[in-house]
Amino acid sequence: MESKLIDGITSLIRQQGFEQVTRQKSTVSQTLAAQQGDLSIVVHLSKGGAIPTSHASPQATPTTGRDIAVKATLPGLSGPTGIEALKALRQGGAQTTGAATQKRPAQ
Amino acid sequence: MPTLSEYWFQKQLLGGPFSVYNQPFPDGGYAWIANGGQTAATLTWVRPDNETVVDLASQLNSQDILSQIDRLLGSHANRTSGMMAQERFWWQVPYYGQDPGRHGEWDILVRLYFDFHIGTPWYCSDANGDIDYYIVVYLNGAGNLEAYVDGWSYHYSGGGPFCTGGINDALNSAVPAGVGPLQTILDTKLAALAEIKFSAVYILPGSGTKVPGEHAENADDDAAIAVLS
Repeated sequence: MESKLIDGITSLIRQQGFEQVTRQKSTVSQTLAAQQGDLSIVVHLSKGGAIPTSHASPQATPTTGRDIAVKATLPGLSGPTGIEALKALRQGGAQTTGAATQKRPAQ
Repeated sequence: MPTLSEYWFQKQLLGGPFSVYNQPFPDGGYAWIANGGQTAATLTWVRPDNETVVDLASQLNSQDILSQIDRLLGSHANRTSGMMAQERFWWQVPYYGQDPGRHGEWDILVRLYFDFHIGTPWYCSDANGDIDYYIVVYLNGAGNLEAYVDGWSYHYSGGGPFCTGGINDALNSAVPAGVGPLQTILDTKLAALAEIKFSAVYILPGSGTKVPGEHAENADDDAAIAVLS
């Protein structure tokens, strides 16, 4: 449906003398642009609402086959998550170094 | 000789511009560091003799690695910065909300990232942003240092009003395609330490320098893996 619609509009604007017709397609939108002298036309067809400008994705199984004994951390930190905890942060920490283990001080 | 390192962060703990002062001291002795300026956060760290530091920015900004990144981006985007490193608590990672139990709350991941630019047709503004990979650094059961790519993200401004869909398509293809090559780079860089057994691993802000005296660095630009043998 979208392609037919854009095809139809493309034909129409070409009939009106517009040139330099370009067509950009993405998974969520199509954009048709053309110019005629100092006139410009843009037709944008999109699915859904606002498109985000960021994305984050964890890897599905990054630890498969890995023998993880100790992850990097800041020794001694604990408590509730988040910025408020960090703002209130006034803590010390210690870490044993005799083996690949880590101890946190008693709470 | 151990070194007492004190970090003064101007804006936030482990983020932004900071000064570090390194003061070596003899075994069984003591050291002191005085600071008269105002800071948002401080971090003090006793660093023993058996600490080995891997400065990530200096390791990852070799021409062969940067060329590899540029090849991966292809025509999708142009890299506009060198490779940067930043330590992040797990809860600061942008995909934390998708799987909070994936790591401990205070586990530290390393964000490896660079800035990019994407040109757009005349009816859109160009896009500028950053592409990020999140790395978990760990010791295996034998005490060897290893790391893996845990996830990825991107963020940009611009691309409006009509080009964000195409930009996202390009990034959603190019950014995860970089995970495999980055893993190979990490494996290669850490291979030099593969035979050494370590007892502890932590991440330091900046280059991880232990050179005595004061140094000004930026925790948003560099981080260092430190291990104790």
